[in-house]
Amino acid sequence: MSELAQGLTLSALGILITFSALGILIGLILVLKALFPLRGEGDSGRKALNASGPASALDRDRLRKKAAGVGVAVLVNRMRQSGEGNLGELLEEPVGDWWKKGIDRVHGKE
Amino acid sequence: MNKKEQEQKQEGLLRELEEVREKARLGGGEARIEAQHKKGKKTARERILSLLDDDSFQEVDALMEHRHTDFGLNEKKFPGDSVVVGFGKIEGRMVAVFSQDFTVMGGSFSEVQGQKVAKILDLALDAGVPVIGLMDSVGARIQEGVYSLAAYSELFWRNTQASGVIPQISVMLGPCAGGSVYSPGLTDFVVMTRGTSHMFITGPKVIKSVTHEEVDFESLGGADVHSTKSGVAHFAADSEEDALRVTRKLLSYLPGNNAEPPPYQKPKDDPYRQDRALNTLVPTDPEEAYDMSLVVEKIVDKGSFFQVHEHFAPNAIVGFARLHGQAVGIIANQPNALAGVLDINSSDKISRFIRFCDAYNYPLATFVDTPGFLPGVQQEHGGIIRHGAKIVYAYSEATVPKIAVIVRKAYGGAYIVLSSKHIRTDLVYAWPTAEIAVMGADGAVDVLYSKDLKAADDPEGARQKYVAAFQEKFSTPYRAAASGHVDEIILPAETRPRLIAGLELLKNKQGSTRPKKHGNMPV
Repeated sequence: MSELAQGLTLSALGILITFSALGILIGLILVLKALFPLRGEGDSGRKALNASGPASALDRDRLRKKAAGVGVAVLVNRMRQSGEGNLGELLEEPVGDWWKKGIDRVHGKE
Repeated sequence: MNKKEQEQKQEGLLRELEEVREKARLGGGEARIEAQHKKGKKTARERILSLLDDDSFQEVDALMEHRHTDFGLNEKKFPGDSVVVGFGKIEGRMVAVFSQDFTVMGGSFSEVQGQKVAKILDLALDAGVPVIGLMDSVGARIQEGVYSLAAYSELFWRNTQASGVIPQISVMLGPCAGGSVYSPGLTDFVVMTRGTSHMFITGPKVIKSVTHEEVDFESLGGADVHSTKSGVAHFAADSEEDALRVTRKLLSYLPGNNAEPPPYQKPKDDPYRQDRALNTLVPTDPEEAYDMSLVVEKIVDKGSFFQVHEHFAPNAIVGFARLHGQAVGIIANQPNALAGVLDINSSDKISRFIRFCDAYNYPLATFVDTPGFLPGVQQEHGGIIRHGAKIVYAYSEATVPKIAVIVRKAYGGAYIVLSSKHIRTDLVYAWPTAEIAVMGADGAVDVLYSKDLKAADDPEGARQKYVAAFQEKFSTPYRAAASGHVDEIILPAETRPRLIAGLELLKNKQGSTRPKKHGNMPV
């Protein structure tokens, strides 16, 4: 076998092994997904999603809380990205005169 | 004297000092050092060197000797006597230290030991640095009689004077019996070592002769007993190395003195971090338990929560943590133990910790979930009124920033004492799971509708109806928020940024108290 043919054979073999492994992995993922469906994808989840009728007060409350949480997260992210968020910055500074004055008073120095 | 003679004399003087120092370094002698090592214990000097930063120890009074002659004491003189004292650094911060030397007459507390310890305590007080005592002593030096007792008294007096001015830590590495236990008892923190350290007023023999009770050293005054039952020890360590490691860690949270803020550490955690797991961590069923320490850990800077008194009164949690690098005192109920009720021991644990935090300027963060005080004849006769009052006193007296988070149940007196607005908590937040009421729904219905329930055709049905109505009204934080008794209802995940923002606001808070000699705490 010439050097060129040997090289081509090895390359083909390598590609074959890589794609076979990928195929096995995809198969495994599909099997696992079928065995353990995500919440909402299983029967009970589907039933819940397909259920008709108005959402209960509890559901509305949950949705409202969720929306508020998402709102806060978006706001925080926006502040971070724009460099506006300076939470905790004051804790990095030494205590101020106001505090020292209070401590002096406690220690009877005033 | 010519130059050569002068040089020779100087060399002789230097050699003499080296020899004296070497003798002092040997303490009670090589045989005793070997005996100490055989017991798995280090010598006084070895302990100090393990505790402090490398090459930082500066010894003082290494050559002091006793002056007594009774009972053959004149033949038993050791340079430095039975304690090694000095100062050095831990993580670059100055501390004063004394270490009892068991190789010299069992580390017995002599007049000289008292004088040396008093001197280093005075120095520490003047310099405003913490004091660490490494204790390993058989007790008073009997041969010195009243001189030894007087020395103890001087130590106790100084411990009391230093209390609230500089932090004091006792590390128990050997026996500590009789009156000598009052020195560690007066200090802020006691670290005990399992197996080798024991503390008691009277030993097993005396107890047997007086009360006929049979008990061994470990069961009477070992590390486990004092860290779980009596609460004398704040930490129990498995070995000397572990005890010294705990001490170094504890010190990283402590300030040098009461006029400086607790040490700040550059934060590595995100101040905006919101752990979404918090939103579902607390069960809505008030009967269901969960681990409050997990809640605390998810809120404070990662890995910074350091519990104090972890195994004593486990229905309450106290400890140090950091919020964006700022050291804070954490107080919480633990629903995983006794449903988080307040009892005698947890009241003592909480109130003592609050007082330490207030003395040394730690902001307080309180996480509330308690059904109230533990009912029972034993608790009432044990003085739960007096002990519970300590929490009210400690919170009311504290002038440091106080922030409370009502996580779930805040019933009755427990709502009041655990940092309500009325005892001047600066900020009170509540989670949507919070329930603020005089008592739980079941108990309240029994009291409010006892006659109606008796008269009802279907008492159980009527009961359920009343319970549901009560829960709708009080098992939410909205009523308290509407009246301003709660400052804001927050999402659990928001707690961390909320607390950090609150600490920023209150960073320079000035506390005010009426002029007085001192209050009369219900001790």
